[in-house]
Amino acid sequence: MIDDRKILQLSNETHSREEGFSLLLKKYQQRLYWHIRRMVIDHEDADDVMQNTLIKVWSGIGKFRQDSQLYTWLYRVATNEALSFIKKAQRTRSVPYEDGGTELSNLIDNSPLVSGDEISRKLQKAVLMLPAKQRLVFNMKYFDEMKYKEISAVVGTSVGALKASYHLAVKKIEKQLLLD
Amino acid sequence: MGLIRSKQQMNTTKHIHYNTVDRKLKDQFGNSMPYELPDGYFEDLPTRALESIRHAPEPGFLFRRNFRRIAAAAAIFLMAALVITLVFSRRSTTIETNNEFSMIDSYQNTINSLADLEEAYLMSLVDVESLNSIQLINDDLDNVSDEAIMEYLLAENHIEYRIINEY
Repeated sequence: MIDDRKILQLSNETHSREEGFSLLLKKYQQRLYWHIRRMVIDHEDADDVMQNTLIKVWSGIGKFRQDSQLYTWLYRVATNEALSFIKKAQRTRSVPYEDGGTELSNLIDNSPLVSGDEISRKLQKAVLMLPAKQRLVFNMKYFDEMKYKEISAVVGTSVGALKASYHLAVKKIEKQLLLD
Repeated sequence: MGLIRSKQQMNTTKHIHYNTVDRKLKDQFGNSMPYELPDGYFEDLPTRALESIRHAPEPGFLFRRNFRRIAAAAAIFLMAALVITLVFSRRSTTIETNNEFSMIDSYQNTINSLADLEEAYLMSLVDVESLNSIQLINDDLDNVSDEAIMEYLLAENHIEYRIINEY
């Protein structure tokens, strides 16, 4: 298992920066990618957001103060990039931000590289009906199985609020799936 | 003791509740996702990422590149603001000054008119013969001094002593 301290040490030296960055990618790229993909759905969009995230990580890792875990910082950067992308895309398409779920839900049906069985598609569509930030919390808790404390470090919301948000999200999805 | 125990029980119940809130959903739907990836995506990602980083503009690049334009625009804006401020402040000063002058003129004219009237009134009260009796040198009224006239008028109670303010 690659140690975060080693990654940071290598990334902070000019001669070993690329090596440190490669180790970081080896350890975290899949988690980051799927976190972004669950937000934006389409693979091409996820790839764009991933590239932007990695550029930000490259320029920001030297300033990383280590007051949080490395992966919570990475998640935070990826989350901000994904949310910015969603807002920008909806502005371009003149879709109200609250209705973004419908747009994204259509991508489940129309996007290449989205197949899977009916059950997982149904679940994803139901998750997409949640507001962006609640969807974010749901994804991190349900799919990534992160602890509330870790999610709190990413989104900056209290643990209590997150618990309530997740509980409501689950209830909404259950209701949505029952309707379907 | 009973109360503490029930609180503990409540906390345990709450803890269990939050752990199983999604149990039903996970049992029915699992946590798989319907998303696929192009072959070799993660193998190529580090190379592509480093390529993007090498070609990405540095932070602040856009600001530095456009700095001259931004500085020029800011300078033009400040100059325009200064000119507008000067033009409008000058106009208002001229208008105010003109108004002041006209006010002073009319005030002075009024004082002069009043002075003329006062003198005319006072002169109407003067009795030449009486003035002679106050040991004036000659009876030509034009040569009589102002002080002599004032003395006569005061003596005859035609006027009261008053302080004349100079304007």
